[in-house]
Amino acid sequence: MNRVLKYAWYQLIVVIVATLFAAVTILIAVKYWPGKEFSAVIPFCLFVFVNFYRLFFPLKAGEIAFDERDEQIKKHATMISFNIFWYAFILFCIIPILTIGNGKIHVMYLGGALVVCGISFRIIWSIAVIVQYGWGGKDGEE
Amino acid sequence: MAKNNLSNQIRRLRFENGQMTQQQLADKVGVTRQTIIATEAGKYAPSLPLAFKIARTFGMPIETVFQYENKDS
Repeated sequence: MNRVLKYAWYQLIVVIVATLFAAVTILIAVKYWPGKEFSAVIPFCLFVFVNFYRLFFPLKAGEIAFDERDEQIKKHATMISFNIFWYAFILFCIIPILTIGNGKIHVMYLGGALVVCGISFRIIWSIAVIVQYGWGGKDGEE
Repeated sequence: MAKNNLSNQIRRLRFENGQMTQQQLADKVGVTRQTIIATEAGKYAPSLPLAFKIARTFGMPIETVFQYENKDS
C-alpha cells in the first residue's frame, strides 16, 4: 500500500469517526443542553487529526512519496469530489427557495450546508482514491 | 469505436536483466512499485518521460518495450 492510498484510508476513518462523534454530541446537546447546541460542534476539532498524517506515517529514507500515477489518481479524485461538492451546495441553496419560497431560513443553514458539503468532499475524495487504486477500479487507467 | 491498447515487455525484460525486481526497477526510474505493477499489467499508461526512463533502464528503444495497437471494435 503506497502513501496516497494510506492517506485516503486514514482520512476516511478520521472524518467518519469525527462526524459520527459530532453527530452523537449534537443529538445529546439538543436534548439535554437546549440553547447551547452550537457548542456541540467542538468534536469537529477531531478533523485536525487529518493533518497529523505525517506524524503517524513518517516518510522512510529513500522512499518515494508519490509519482505521476498517484498525481493522476489524486487529480481525478479531486475533480470528482469538487464537482459533487459544488452540485450539493447548489442543491442546498435551492432547497429553501423551492420549499419556503420568500420566507426565512435559520442563520446556521448555509454554514451547516457548507460543513456537510465539506465533509462529503473529504469522504468522496478518499473513496475515489481507494476505488482507483483497485477496489474493483482500473488502477488509474486513463 | 476505436480501442487503444498499450502492451509492454517489462516483465520479460526484467527477468532478462538479472531477475530485476519490480522494486529495483521502480527505484531506478523514480516511481512507486505499485506504478510498475500497474504498468506491467497494462492497467496504467505511463507518461512519455517515464516510458523513456524504463526503456533506457533496459538499454532498449522505447518501441521494443512498449507496443501500441489501435483496434477498431
